[in-house]
Amino acid sequence: MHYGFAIDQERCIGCHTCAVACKIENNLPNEIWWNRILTDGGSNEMDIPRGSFPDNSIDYLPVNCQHCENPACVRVCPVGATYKDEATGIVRQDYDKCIGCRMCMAACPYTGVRSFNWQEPEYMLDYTLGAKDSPEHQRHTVEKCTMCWHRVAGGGEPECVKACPGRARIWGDLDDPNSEISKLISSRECKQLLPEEGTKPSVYYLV
Amino acid sequence: MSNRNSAQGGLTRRGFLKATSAAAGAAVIGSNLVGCAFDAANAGEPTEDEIAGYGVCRSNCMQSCRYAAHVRDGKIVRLEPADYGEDLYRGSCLRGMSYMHRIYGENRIKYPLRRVDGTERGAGEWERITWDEAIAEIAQKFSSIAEEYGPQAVVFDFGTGNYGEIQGQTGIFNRLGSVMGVSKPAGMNDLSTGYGIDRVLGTGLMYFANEAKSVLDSSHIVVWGSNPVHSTPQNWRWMQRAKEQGTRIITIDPVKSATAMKSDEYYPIKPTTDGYLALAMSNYIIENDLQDVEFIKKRTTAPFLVRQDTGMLLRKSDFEEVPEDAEDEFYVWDPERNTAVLYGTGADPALEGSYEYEGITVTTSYTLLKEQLSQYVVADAAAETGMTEETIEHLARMFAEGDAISVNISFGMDHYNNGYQSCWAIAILMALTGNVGRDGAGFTGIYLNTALALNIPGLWAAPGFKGMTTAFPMTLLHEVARDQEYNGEPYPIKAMVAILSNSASNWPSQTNYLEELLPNLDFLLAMDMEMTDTARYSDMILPTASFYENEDFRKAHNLPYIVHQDKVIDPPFEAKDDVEIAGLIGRALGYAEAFPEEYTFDDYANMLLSGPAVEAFGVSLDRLRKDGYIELRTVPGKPGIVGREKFPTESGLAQLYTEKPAPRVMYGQDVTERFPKEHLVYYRPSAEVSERSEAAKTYPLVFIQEHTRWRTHSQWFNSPILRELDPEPLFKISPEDAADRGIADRDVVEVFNDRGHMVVKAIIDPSLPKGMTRMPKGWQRDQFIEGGYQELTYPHNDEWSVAFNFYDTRVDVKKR
Ligand code: SF4
Ligand code: SF4
Ligand code: SF4
Ligand code: SF4
Repeated sequence: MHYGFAIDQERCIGCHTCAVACKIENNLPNEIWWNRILTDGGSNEMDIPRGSFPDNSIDYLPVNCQHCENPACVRVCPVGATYKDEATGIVRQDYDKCIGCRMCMAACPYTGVRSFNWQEPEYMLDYTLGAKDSPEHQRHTVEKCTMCWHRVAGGGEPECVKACPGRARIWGDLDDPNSEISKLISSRECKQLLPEEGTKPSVYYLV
Repeated sequence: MSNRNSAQGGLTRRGFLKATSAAAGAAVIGSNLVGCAFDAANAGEPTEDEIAGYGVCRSNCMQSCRYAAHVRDGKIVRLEPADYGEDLYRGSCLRGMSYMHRIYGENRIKYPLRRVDGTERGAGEWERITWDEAIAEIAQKFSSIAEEYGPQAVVFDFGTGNYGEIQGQTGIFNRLGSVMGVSKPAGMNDLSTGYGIDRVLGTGLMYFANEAKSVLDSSHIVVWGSNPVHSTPQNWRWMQRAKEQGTRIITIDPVKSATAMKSDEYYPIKPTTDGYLALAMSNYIIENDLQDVEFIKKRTTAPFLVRQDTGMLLRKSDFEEVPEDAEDEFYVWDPERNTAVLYGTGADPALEGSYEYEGITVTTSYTLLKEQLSQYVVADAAAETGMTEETIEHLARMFAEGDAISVNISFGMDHYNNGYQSCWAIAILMALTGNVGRDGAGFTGIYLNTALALNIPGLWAAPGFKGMTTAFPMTLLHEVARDQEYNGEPYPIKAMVAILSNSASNWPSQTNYLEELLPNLDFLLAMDMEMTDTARYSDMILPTASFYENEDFRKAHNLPYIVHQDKVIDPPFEAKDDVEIAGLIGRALGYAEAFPEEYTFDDYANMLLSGPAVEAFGVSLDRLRKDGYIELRTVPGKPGIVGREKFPTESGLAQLYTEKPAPRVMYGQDVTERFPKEHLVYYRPSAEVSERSEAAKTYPLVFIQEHTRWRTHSQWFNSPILRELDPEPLFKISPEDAADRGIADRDVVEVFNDRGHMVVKAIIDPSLPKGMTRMPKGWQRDQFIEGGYQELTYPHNDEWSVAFNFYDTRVDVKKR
């Protein structure tokens, strides 16, 4: 099994619902976002398109951990806190092992998919949101998208997939040629982020 | 420093990715991983056991997403998008999914609050009081006002913060207002679109649209002045699906909206000239004989004869007594017998021509319309709209030749003084090309089910019913309060209750509200969950329940269902739901018969859920509780289409001529002058936005409010989770206008006109043409550096459409 995502950029409307759903499901601390919707546009401002009127265009790029087949982060982690689960292809992070050296953050070419809890995590609400069994966030550890391990392991699908109102996020087994995701990426034009880095991401963007 | 993981920083692709490369049809990745059994030993199960109930989001976004509410230790931990009968109706958005942040967030109003005596309104000095104190004081105020000035000196201001049928806008507080006999100013929001289309389709103010799914049958979708990609994503999902099946999407909009960027074709237009475009297309279609003659004959009033002397239609009653309950039939011209005959009795009636009958000169509706349209020529339309003649002709041909065209319309054009004329003109264009009343054809945007009529009188008309007085529209409330008279007669106004309403923020020309309405009220009572502008300026605030804290149900917007809301949690702190609050106030005022102590939600719900229409669909409280939602389609499996059989006009036909035009609300305005013009569709420039307006001489920039994903009007205005992504108000200006004023991204600017100002950061938005500015709506006054955007907006209503015209606004900007 090799789980991955296909994100249909034709369908994606940049609504941030998947980002918010991820934040709630994983009870992410303040200012931590494992899944972010980047504006691929004309300036450094969100939702600002490229080009001049009326020939503007914009793309949205939802970016979470790419669950690389050849993860740059895993190679550099001195304590094995970040590792690839061979059975699923999911790149995991063990908070208890993480020593907070942030080597993985430096090595990962996909800036921002990993985040670091500089301080004791703080939350907007005073109770735990989302899954009851997602691991607790810890100070001085690195964290990132778990591919909703807690859901997937129980037979469910990642929260961001269910949340997407555009039906733009397709998740499934890349090893199964009959899965929806495999069919999509073999029939549609698609791209991967920074293929030259040799990380072999498990996230495909359908363009 | 936790902000080194800045949420909003770097939310653009720049500085994130150096390059990406495209690989066509990338093969499935080879993998030598063996599909060994998934180690699920220490992983949890999906948390279905936590579902405490189902509910439906009821903000005024014109969608109706259903959620499964997961509750742990008495608190909502997850709102999971829940199914409807069809997969593509399962919806969600960042607001609905993060609603627990509004329930439990710091902004929640926890207790009844009273402005500290001696402090200014808006100063933020509150004292906590008990419910008993609050209710006693409210009752005392209302009774003494009623005694001294009459009950209509209390105004009920109904907003759109909750579309529950009992706890919402048309719910229980109408029962209270009706036994009290309060004033209820005529609603003004989003009413021009429906008012304009009603001239042709007879669909009233809000019932002009087809079900969202209907676009799957459209050959073309014309998105006209709306932006569903950002503002109604649940509708857009169907349009996207249609597009994938080959439907062409065409957007007409003054700005290159997010929807325009997803469309196959985009045509910019000068704002508020849409009506001219539609009329010129209609004229071009007729001149080139492209109209749908079959449809015009069968489904419009084209052959109906108009009397030259009175402007009325020639009817049976012109010649004989017609009993009041009988149909007063219409005459048409029978060309074979060369005489007028009653419609439906003769052969093919004449579509065109003028005739004499019994000494009366009559002309067909179609001929009059054609003559009227002939003044709108493509060349002039090009000048007025800024489009090329080729574009206008291309669009006209598309309307004429497309198999089934739907127009997604919503309330963009609506928000201008000439909005109803734009929408009326588009409805005429649709009728002439046969693009209404059939699969895939007609308007979309705000589908409301008409087949199921809830028993509103059953709920509103309690024992002791007096009714609510609607003498004037909301736009005039500040004047009536200021003068304490209306139309020269005394009309005292002393108190106001904001019910599900943030009127201080969401009514145009905020200065009128703050400086003329407020100082003339002895008492402003706000009922809200959060400290909105209105709550902030009020004298007392009652904490109300959220969507998940009481039972309710709603007829969905845009979906063919009536949907139930389970009560999944108790109202936190001292919040109460509207049923309880209305009962407390009602009984304190002595209306125990209307609000018996023992009445619960069920009693009121059963009042609404009674009557033949409700029974015909088998809708009952029990079934709603059991099934969660009930489908309300009249043709099973077929999307709801307005006018599938016939249109809800007197004749059942689409009307090309309006026999008895009437203003939307009569409030004493003089309508005689324009009456003769209102029979046939025409163009009128907007009030300020038109390039020829007085305002245009002083204020070069049009200012509109964007409906973005972050808020529904002002709801979610201070959701901490959403503000991590969208932290502050931003004013958007075109590169040219910014350069002219030396404005760069994130500069602080002052936006101003004669009515007011706001000081805010600006960003440069190249999807705006020169001359247009905008900002996402919903921010509250304390979120601005100074002032607020709603100070700027156009205050008046058109005398016929009687609606708010937020976007008919011009401003200028200078760098601070
Ligand atoms: S995206 Fe970065 S963090 Fe995720 S697996 Fe790849 S290298 Fe590691
Ligand atoms: S898979 Fe789960 S953790 Fe990863 S982005 Fe989606 S919701 Fe977040
Ligand atoms: S929820 Fe779906 S449509 Fe919205 S940003 Fe995420 S991927 Fe795009
Ligand atoms: S705000 Fe509208 S789109 Fe969002 S969840 Fe509620 S109903 Fe759906």
